[in-house]
Amino acid sequence: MERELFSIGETANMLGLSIQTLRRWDASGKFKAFRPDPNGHRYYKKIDIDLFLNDIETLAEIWVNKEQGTEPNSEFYCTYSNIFKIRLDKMMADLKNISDLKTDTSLITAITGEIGNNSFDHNLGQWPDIPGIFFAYDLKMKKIVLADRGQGVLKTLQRVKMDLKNDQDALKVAFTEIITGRAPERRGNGLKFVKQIILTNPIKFLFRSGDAELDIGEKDSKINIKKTENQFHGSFVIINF
Amino acid sequence: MQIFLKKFGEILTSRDTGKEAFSAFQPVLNNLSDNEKIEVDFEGVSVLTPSWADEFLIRLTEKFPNKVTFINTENASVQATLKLLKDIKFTKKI
Repeated sequence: MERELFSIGETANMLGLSIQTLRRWDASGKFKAFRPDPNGHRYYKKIDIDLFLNDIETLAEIWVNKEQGTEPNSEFYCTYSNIFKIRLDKMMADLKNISDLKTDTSLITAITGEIGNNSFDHNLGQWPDIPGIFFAYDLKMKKIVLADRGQGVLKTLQRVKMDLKNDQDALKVAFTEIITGRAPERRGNGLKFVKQIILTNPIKFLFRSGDAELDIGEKDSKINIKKTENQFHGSFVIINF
Repeated sequence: MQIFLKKFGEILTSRDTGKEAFSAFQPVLNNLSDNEKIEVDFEGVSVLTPSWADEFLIRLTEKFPNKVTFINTENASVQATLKLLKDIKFTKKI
């Protein structure tokens, strides 16, 4: 008979996460453990694990938080930028079939393209472990998820702005300051473009890198940046449109 | 001279493809006469991003200051990209 209950250690192994991450996700409500005895050990039900893994946001979050980098499910894995381009073209075509879209398909595709391409451009030849990005979208939920296990915004921005000290400042600069220092690389201002579109359209947006999280609510006219308990290398993005 | 961007593709998003497009277009640009203007036509472009624009449009305007004009820019992503380029002042030369 198939097992129905797993210890926190077994679940952590299964997902490739640390026990600390699972404890944190239990406390925050992101992934609740099951406790037969309220003061006893945490367990996870198989059905809960399966449900948890049935969501693209969860899959991406597990992937970027894995202790040891592994390639994600091929369905969502863009090893190279040309694969991302093909899948982005497909997303644009799929978006056109949604009748009640509140934001122009060209804008949703443009911001998704800018974020995905940023990951490739800034990590070329310098991926810490797994090259490429996780890219998935759910048309029913009107949600797009992008993630990478790259160097993160702080490290890549420090190439042109050496005085940056932490991930929060890096996100602030990336989304708000026009970066004019262009050597040694030609540096665009793609995330300012992303912000400009989100602020003028009914889009909810979340961007995490290092231990910083930036969010823009659907009706917000400003960006909010906070420090998170969790630290990972790379970036993790959710676009709700 | 007219440049029809849709000939490079309908979805113009990545830095790589912008760079490639600009390189491929060099022989044509080298034949531009001294008084000739360049009209960039966006008709048929479904998506444009600042990364692609940085590699093609910005390089074009840097190479030919005061010679480049844009037409058929109604697409929402084209509008948003051109607005950003203006904001970052690169388009002073456009």
